[in-house]
Parts: sequence; structure tokens; C-alpha cells
Amino acid sequence: MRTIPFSEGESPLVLVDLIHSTRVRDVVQSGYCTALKSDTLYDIQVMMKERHVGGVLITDKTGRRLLGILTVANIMKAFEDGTIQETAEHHMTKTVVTLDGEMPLSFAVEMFDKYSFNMLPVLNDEKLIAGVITPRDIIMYLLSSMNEEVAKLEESVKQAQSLIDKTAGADLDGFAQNKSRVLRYVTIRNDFNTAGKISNEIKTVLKEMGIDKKIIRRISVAAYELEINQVVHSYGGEMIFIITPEKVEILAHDKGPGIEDVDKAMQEGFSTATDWVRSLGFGAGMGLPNSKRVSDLFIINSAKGQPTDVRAVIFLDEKKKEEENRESL
Amino acid sequence: MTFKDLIEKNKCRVFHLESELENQKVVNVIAGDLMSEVLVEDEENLLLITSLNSEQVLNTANIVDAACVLLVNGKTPQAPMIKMAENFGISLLSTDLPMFEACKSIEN
Repeated sequence: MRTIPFSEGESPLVLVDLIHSTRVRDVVQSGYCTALKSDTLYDIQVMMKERHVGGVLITDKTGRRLLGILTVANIMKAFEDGTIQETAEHHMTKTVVTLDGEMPLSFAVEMFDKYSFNMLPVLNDEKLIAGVITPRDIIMYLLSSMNEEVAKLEESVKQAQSLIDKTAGADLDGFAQNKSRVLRYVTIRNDFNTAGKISNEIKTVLKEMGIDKKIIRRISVAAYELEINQVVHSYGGEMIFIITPEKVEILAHDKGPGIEDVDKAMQEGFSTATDWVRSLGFGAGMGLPNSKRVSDLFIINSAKGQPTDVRAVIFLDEKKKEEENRESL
Repeated sequence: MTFKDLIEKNKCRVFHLESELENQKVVNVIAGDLMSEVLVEDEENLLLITSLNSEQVLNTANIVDAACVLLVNGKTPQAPMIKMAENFGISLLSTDLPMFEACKSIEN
């Protein structure tokens, strides 16, 4: 079988994230055919024809515990051997490769790549049948998820563009001189190998734009803390940097799981980080307070089970900062 | 005390050294293993003393424009950390002294 054309290093981050964050249970289909081990192969092949399936799960009487699997190949062999009127018990495959609902989808893809199965049963924690998964299910799921991701990307580009348009009105010259930029990055859950890269890249960009060193430092600190937060606390997310001649705006948006008590999270010292995160030098409960401290404007929106949205603004021009402050008063 | 003195006095192993740093004086120092605390620091040309041996130390050092990172307790940085130090232009040293002793040597 040909290998799947998916490379961690070269594929877009959204796709790498998608295939790692999706679990088998997200894709599993609950519609499947079962038969008892006492059913004859003849009756089972009639059912397979009627229901257009290539495999049947052989279960106990409850229909939930898996005993074996019977596929078209077994049926064909039975016709050949003249055993088609015998029961499933002695002809089914008893050592069945199964998947766990919590396994990452990438593992299921590997299994289909490794074996020539067209269907794999999925079991729940109690080892009972949760459903089956086929390569078709995976393709359909990935296609619709990719569709959603692309739609989100298009929407975020539009939003970013409209934000620039709004902020740009005052200084069209700046745009003409290419002083304004929008940069978008994706963060991946628990990916500590690349954490910090985004903030350091932003720092380089700002340096090249000739922005004041002290201001760059403030922007970098906010970006770094928000980036680390997305990596260690969220299911992954994105960071958009809108750089205009007057200000730098950081929009950090993640996919959840959300902050239960935002006020508490803004208090210095409060942290839900694990020991693993602490061993890497973070998780002291200073991330959000630090980002706020260096920002001129800091807005956070979150709730349990919701995505977290942070908007941090740092003005490049003291006069603009005063003007905006006066307006907001 | 210059960075050259620091290297000699603490018998530092040098993994990367920016040439102009040697004769500069060690003025601003922060010691700790919590990178969020380091990020609060406002001083320029920092010497960051830490026993945390990870790439996040160099990310943090770069964000706060630190000039030098000194690893204590004989920690040996991994190859990617040395590469980051070179790219960021941050000197990277290591000493066998524990954190307290390393800090004391600068105070004196």
C-alpha cells in the first residue's frame, strides 16, 4: 500500500494539528452490522448483500461484546470450501485488531496503512463495541474539518484585514511605505519544541521595522507569555499580529477548553499548570498578569468550555496612546 | 567585575561568547528558574543565572535582550541551545558552582 502523503515537517500546521488533535471517537460511526456466532455464513452473506457492507462484527447476545469479525474474504472462502451452511463460530477471524476511542486519528491512519483492512472495530473503556471506522469515514471527516479550517482561516484573514483598514485610515502614508503588516501563526498543544518561536520571530520583524527597543521588549513579553499559555493550557490556537505605524495588536485565539474563572487567572500566582510545565520554567501563574502588565490595552474573554480570546494592544507612539486613553474616558 | 573575570573566577565552560562581551562589566543580574519572573525584568544587558537547562531559557533571554546566560550546577546545554545562543547573539556559559555560590561570586 502506498504511504499516506502526509509529512509532519512539511504539511501546513493546521493539518498537522488536525490529525493529531482528532481522536478515533470523533470519527467513529455507530451504524454497523452484527451477527451471532451461531448464525450461518449463508444468512450472514445475505445480510451483507442487503446492507451493502464488507464486514460483520460477530458479538455475544448483548450485541456489545466483540467475539470476532467476518468479512467478504471469509464468505468467498466458505463458498469455495463448501462450508457456507456452517455457523460463523469456526470461520470468523478471532484475533481482531481493534482501536480505542481515545487513540489519535493518526494512529488509525497508520493501522489502515499497515494492514489491508477495510474496517476496524472501535471499543470503549469497558471493551464494548463503540462502533466501527473505515478509511471512507476518515476521508469524509478530514475533508469536512479541512473545509471548516479553511473557512476559519479565510474569516480570520478578513477580520485582520478589516482591523487594518479601520486603524489605517489615519496614516495611509505608513501603508504606502510598507510600515504595516499582519502576521498569523498557529500554536500546537504541548509542542514545547517550537514554543517561543513565534515571539522571537515577531521580535525580529519588529527590529527590522526599526521600532523602539523598549517597546519591542514589551510586545515580545506579551507575545511570549500568550504563546506559552496557548501551548500549555489550550488545545492549540492562533496568534495574529497586526502591526501599524501607531500600534501593535496581538490577537490570541485558542480552541478551548477555556478558563473557568478569568478574574482568578488574572491574579498573580494562580496557576493550573502541571508539574511538567513547571519543570520547563513556566506555570508560576504569571503569564496573563505579565502580558497585561506590558500592554496598554488588555482584553480577555473566556469561560469554561469556550475558546479563550485575548486582545493585547501596545502603542508605538506615546501621543496616540494619550489620545486613545482620552477617548476611552 | 567583567564577564572575562566571571568566566575565570567561576571556571566557566564557554559554549558561545560574543566577542564584545568579555570586557564589559557585569551590572544587571537576575537569578532564577522561573522564566515568567525573568520576563518581568526591565534592565538592559542582563546576566541570567539559572539551573534550568532548556531552550526556553534562551527564548526568554532573547525576549528580554539578555547579554549572557550562565547555567549553574554543571549543566551542559544541548546542541540546539548552543545554536540558539549563536543565532540570538547571547553568550552561553556553564559553571559547576551551585546557584547561591555563583551569585555570591559576583557580589564579591
